[in-house]
Parts: sequence; C-alpha cells; structure tokens
Amino acid sequence: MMLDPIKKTEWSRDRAALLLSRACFGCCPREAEAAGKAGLEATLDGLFRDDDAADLFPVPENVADPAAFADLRKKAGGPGKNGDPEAEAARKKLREEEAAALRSLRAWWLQRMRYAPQPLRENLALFWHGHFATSVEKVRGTHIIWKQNELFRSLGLGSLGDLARAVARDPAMMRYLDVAGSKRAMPNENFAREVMELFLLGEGHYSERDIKEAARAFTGFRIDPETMEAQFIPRQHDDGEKTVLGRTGRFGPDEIVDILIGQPECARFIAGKLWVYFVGKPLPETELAELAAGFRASGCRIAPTVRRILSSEGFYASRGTQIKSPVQWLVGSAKALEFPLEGNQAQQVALRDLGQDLFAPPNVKGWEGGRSWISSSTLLARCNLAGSLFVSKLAEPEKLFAGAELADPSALCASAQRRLLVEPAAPASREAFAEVVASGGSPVSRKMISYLLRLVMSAPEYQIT
Amino acid sequence: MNFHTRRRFLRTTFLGGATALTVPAFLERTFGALDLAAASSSSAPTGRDHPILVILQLAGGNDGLNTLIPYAEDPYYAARPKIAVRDPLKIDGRFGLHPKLASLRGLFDDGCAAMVHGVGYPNPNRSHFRSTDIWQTATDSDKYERRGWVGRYFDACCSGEDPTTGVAIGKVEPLAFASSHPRAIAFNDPGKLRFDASASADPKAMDAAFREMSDEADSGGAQIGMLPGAAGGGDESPADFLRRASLDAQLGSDKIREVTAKFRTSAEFPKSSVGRSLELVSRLIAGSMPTRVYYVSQGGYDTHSGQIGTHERLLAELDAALGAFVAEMKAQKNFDRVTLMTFSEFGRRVAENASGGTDHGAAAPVILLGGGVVPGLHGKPPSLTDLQAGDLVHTCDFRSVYATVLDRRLGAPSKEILGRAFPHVLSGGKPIIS
Repeated sequence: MMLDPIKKTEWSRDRAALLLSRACFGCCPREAEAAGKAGLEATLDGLFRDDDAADLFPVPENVADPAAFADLRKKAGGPGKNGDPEAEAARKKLREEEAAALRSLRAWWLQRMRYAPQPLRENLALFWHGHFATSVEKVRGTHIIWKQNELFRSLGLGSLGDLARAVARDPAMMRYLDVAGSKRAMPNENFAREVMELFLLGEGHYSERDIKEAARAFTGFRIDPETMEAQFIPRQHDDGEKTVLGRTGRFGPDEIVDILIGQPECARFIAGKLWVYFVGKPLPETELAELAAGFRASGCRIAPTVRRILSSEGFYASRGTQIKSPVQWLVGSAKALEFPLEGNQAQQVALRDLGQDLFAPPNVKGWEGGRSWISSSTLLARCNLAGSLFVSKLAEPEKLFAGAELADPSALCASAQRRLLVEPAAPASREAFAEVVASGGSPVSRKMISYLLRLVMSAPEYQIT
Repeated sequence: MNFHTRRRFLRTTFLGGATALTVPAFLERTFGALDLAAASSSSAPTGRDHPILVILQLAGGNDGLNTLIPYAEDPYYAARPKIAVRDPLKIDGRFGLHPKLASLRGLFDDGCAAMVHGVGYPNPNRSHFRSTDIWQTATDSDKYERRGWVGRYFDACCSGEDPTTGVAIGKVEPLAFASSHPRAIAFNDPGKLRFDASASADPKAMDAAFREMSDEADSGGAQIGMLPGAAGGGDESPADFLRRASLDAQLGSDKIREVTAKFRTSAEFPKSSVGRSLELVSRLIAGSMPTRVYYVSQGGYDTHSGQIGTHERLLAELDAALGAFVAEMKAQKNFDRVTLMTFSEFGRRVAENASGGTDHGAAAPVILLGGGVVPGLHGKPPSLTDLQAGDLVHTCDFRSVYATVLDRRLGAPSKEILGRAFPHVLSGGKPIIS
C-alpha cells in the first residue's frame, strides 16, 4: 500500500509542491502550478533527466587546480619546521587560501542547489555527503573535497556498487578515515569499520574480526602530493588471504566492497535510509523488505528506488511529518521567495548556525536529521534568519502578490501561506498572520507585507514539509 | 486570559523569572492556586540550594593512558615508543598526570579532585557513535534505549516542566538528556537566543504575534497532563513538537538572557571553546537557574595520527578551563553543591599505531571534581599486559560512577534510573562522594 504509486487522479498542485519541496529543496508557486498541471510522471521525468549542467557552473579556479597551493604547502613543510618563521608564515597563508577556496566551493554548491536544472541530483549529492560523511576539518584540502562532491553528483543516482568502490578510493575519504598511509605492517581499521557500520551494512551485521580482516585489504594507498589522486603502493599492501563475512580470498578494496554490497542487509540499509531521507519516518518492516528487494533486483541502482519512493502513496501521505534540514530551509526559502542565493558569507554562516555546515558534518555518521535539527537556539535562529537573510532584503515584496491580493488582507494571508507553507497553518498561526496584517490598515503597506512573510517563515509549520 | 495564553501560562508557572515577563503577577497567583496539577508541580527547585551536576564530554575518545600515566610500568613505554609521556606530574608512586594538566594536579593537592581508574563496560563497542550512545543511555552494550540516563533522572526526580532543567552548551541536545517529557535547552550564545523583532515598526506586536503561534487552540479545560510537552516522547506530531519547541525556546531564552545579562564571573576563563562553555555554565549557576544538569563538550580527541601535539593542546585547554571553573565555583560559594564529571566514549588502544597516534580502545579514567568528592585516585588500575584484543580491560563499570553521583549527589534512586543496582565506587570502604 505505502509503496504503491499514487493514482493519477490524486495528483494535485499541493502534492506537486510537496514533491518539489522534498526532492528539489523547494519551489516557487509557478513551479508548483506547472508540475500540478504536468502530472506526476512528466514531473518525475524532468527531475531524473540526465543533462550535463556543468558549463553553467564553472568550478572556482582555486578549487579546481590540484596544484593551486603546492608551493605554499612545500614552504609550510612538515612538523619538523615548527618555529621556522618562514614556514609559519606559509602555514598561515595556506590556511587563509584554503579557507577562501572552501568559501568559494560552498558558494558554488549552494548556487547549484538553487539554480541547477536538476536539483534532485544536487539533493542526492547532499544525501551521499551526509551518508559517506567526510569533513574538511580533518581532510584539509578543498580540492579533494570538491572531487568527492563531483563523485556524489555523477554517481549519486547510479549504481551503489560503482559509487561505493569509488568512495573507497576517494582521496578525501582516504584521508578522513585514515586509509591513506595505512600499511600492511599495521593496518588502520577506521575505514574498514565505518564502511560496514555506517556506509553499507549497519551495526550488528559483521564482527570485529571482519573489520580487522577488511582493514588489511585497504592497506597500501596514499595520496599523490602532485596530482592529489589515490596512489597504490604495492609493497605496503597486504595481498594475503582474508576472510570477510564468510568469504575467503586475496581481497583488495573492490572485492571487499562487493562482498558488503552482496549482503542482503546492504539493500535494506540503503533503501531504508533513502526512504527516511525523503519521507521522514522509517518505513515499516514489510514495506522495507519490499523496497529493498526492488533495489537489489535492480542491481542496486539508486535512481529507480528514489523514483519509486517519490511516486508512492506513503510519500504523499507523509505531508507535514518531515522537519526541514537547514539546507532545505535555506535553499527552499530562496526558491519560494524567488530570491537570489549566491551562497555568500552570511548564508554560509547561517547554515553553520543552523547545524548543517556543508563539507563539515559533525562526525562520520553525518547529520542525524529529523528532530535533532531543532533546538531552542536553531529554531530561534531560523526565525531570525528568515528576516535578516531574506525578507528584509526583498526590495519589493509586493511583487510576489497579485494586485487583488494586495487589496484584500485575507487574500494576502492566504497567498503568502500558499507560497511558503507545505503544511497548512494551525488556527493559532493563522490568527497571528491575520492580526499582523490587520494592524497595518488598508491598503496593506510594503512593510506589513514584509512582517507577514517574516511571521509565516517563523511559524512552526514553516519548519516542516 | 483567553484560551491561547492558558497553555503558555501553565508552562510559565514553573519558570520563575520568565513568568514575570509574560504574565502579570496577580494572574500567576490566581491561576496557580486554581490549577492543582500546576501547584503540586511547583516543588520545582529554587535554584539556590539543590545539587548540580556538570557533565563534560571529551568527544572522540580520550587517550586515558596519556592523561593519567602509569609512569612506573615498563609495558607502557614498550607499547608506546614514540608517544609515551615521559615527564608526568606524579600523583603517587605509580601514576602521574600529563604535564599539561598542572591545574588539575593542583586540585588533587587542594583535596577537591578525584579520578577513577579503568572506567568502561563489558563487551566494549569501538564505534564512536555507538559507544557514545551507550555512555549516554547507560545501557548494556547490546541494548538500545531511547531515553538518556540524565533524561530518566529528570523523569524520575524533576517534576514540573521547566524547559531549563537540563542545559547543554552546544547546538544539539545530547542523547543523555532525552526524556519522556522534554525539559532541556541547548544553545551556544545566549545573546542570540531570542526572536529578534527589533527591525519591525512595532516590535512588541511582532513579538506577541510570534509568541501566539506556538500557543495551541486547545479546548480550554487543559490540565498539565494534556499539554503536548507532557504527552511528549516520540508520538508527538512534528507540528506539535515544533510548537512546543518554539514555546520552550521563548520561555527558556527569556530566563537565560535575564540571568546571563545580570551575572558575570570573577574568575578569568580561557577563550577556548570549553573555557567559554564552562564560563557560561558558571554564570547560569551564579544566577540560580533551576537547572539540575549542565552538559558541555570538548571535541577533537580522536587522535589516530600525530597525537602528541593535538593531545597536548586539548589537555592544556581542558586544564585551564577546569582550573577557572573550580576557582569560580569557590568564589561563588557554590563549589560544595556542584559536581563535575568527565566522560569519553572510550580510551585508546594501548599500543601506538604507525601514524604516531592511537586507535579506538576501551577503558579510561574519569575525572570528578566537587566539594563532596573524596580526593585522590580510586579503583583498581587496569593491567597493561592482560589485554583484550589489544585494549585495557575495564575495572569499574561506568554505571557505578553514575550510581555514585545519582545516589550521593543528586539524591536520586540510581537503581530505578539505571535499571538495576550498581555498586558505588568506594575508597577505603566508603563511597567516593561523601
């Protein structure tokens, strides 16, 4: 039932708004209307279209070039250069340059989320960023973090096997979980543990021994300091026999990943997590088994499973049960208000304050999501940022409304809610909106329109979708 | 009073100062007397005399062996040829503190610091997240629990609905605080903890409208038990959850801003993140918040590579912050009712790795500071040679430390909260908290 596709007759403008809110970070009223008219299948076809939009979003130069800071890095030297004033100066400069590069990378991604013709692809990149969580705080190197982001973008809707094998040799991941530099004499277990616990199986479906054995397979890699690519050092690699999850052989990284993906738990784990990402609440056991079976039968291809989720009755029945992530909140606010989002410093700081610093998840488990997005401080910050980032910067808020709406306070309230809310407002919120508009007299002034927008965006209902 | 304000009112009756900001005093008395449920719950703490627990998380897995160093033991140096600490601040004939922990060493001399050796749990889990969850929920390592151990203490012992019963300095509430009736608040900067209506023509009206949105149009016959906050838990709808979160944010922030605006510390705190957190906690304690448990965290202890410099810096920051906190609590004359306890999800492997770091391990020492703490090193040090998969075997279950704190400091029934009885940590036959 939950996984059955909704009937054609059940498709509507409001359902389209829910789909675009969850799959594409949000939409403006025109997009919701258009998708409502186009129908579910045509809308989904559009979301899954495989256009290359790369040329619309040129990668910042200081990010794209692996050798951008090679000279500085050399001058900064290793720990042996502690106290050397020239090395100290180079280190300081390097920190500043890397920070600037990271800011331009964040701006670049936020612009893609806001403007890319395939926002679903960006959303999947965000999903995998949270799943294969990697933080620049440890990785130190914007270039390799960007390369990882491109990996999530290009493979994020493809096959899980391709994606996971690529992640195992991704320089940013290798550095984050200490694969880089792990040697046969003393294998580092960090990646081997997380690839089972957090990335592909979930806790309880492997043993400590499996981790120790798999860690041997991931030895012998380092990051080439010139190209910043993964490099295999055969003499550091343990090519002996390993036994992992009941299978024995002289496994390397690819074979280990394939063994993990072959476990039935893997499909359940990934399909269940995709469901939660798009729907909010976990899928009940029977339906999860069904969704996982479909995922497995497709060769663990991600797009068909995501499409199934986004077509399902369960998805559309779940309106109002998902708490928006900070990224959804920020990009969605810009979309709903038809407001430019260049990913500037204030917007980046906002994401950090709301608890979702891009490229810096709190730990290898990624962002916990759901109710954990909301604390007293992040909730108040959302309400305040609605004003300072968006509403106060709208030069002509009246342009968001039709002339007739501006003349009629109740029509104005209704229109603002239709534009901003996926979940209808409760009576207490509606009364607050009406009171604010009424307090300004008629016709409604520009100022009052701003207050109304700010208040709707501060409503409890605006935080959910 | 219309029915919207009723719910707000019921929640504010537990909030002391915040009440005055939102409801006239005569209404407070009248309404409080009318509502028996509210009245009986107002046995809420006054903020001036109840015991306070401060939990300090050393996130990432602190290397216990390089914090409390078994300097007299050869296997220690053998396992750590590169990273062994060779100049510890000796406490007794066998153990000494990392040289960066000079203030803490002084607190041992002053008789107000203790450490418990080898704290851990059976079948240790070496995942950061799982092991942190185990410490926060105080369960057996193969059991999952939705409520945290502090949350269960709130449920059992802190009646009323004060949303500041637990205060976490940080962006998210720790799992330890999760309870069936949410009563905790998390924030970094008290100044930002408010709805900013200053840009509007009529800030008061805007603020009132904002506050109105989190009120519920309930039937008017509300009782405490029917409030969404009391219904609580995981069954609450996301919309109700957000309304309650919004209301609690408003009421909690009113109170916290009032207190932090009024109270400053006399001790100088370091500017590190953990220093600022403990300074903020000190000001809230000075302001007699009804808070029972504070939670602060210091991150970065996951020292898989190049450990020496990182660990030195972390311990130096920790040491300066602890020194300032103790000085401040003494100056406030609150030291006797405050207990600070550290924890880390695990210690680290006995042997160093090839990257000059250490991988995830098991047991590690816990630091306790406070007026009632019996000073010194307690418990049995774990063996450095009789290891389990390369890790220390714990000699003290972490729940014994919790039980000692709950029973001896918070006056809470540890057996009920922890699910079974755990023996207190003893020194000379007596509990280490007097």
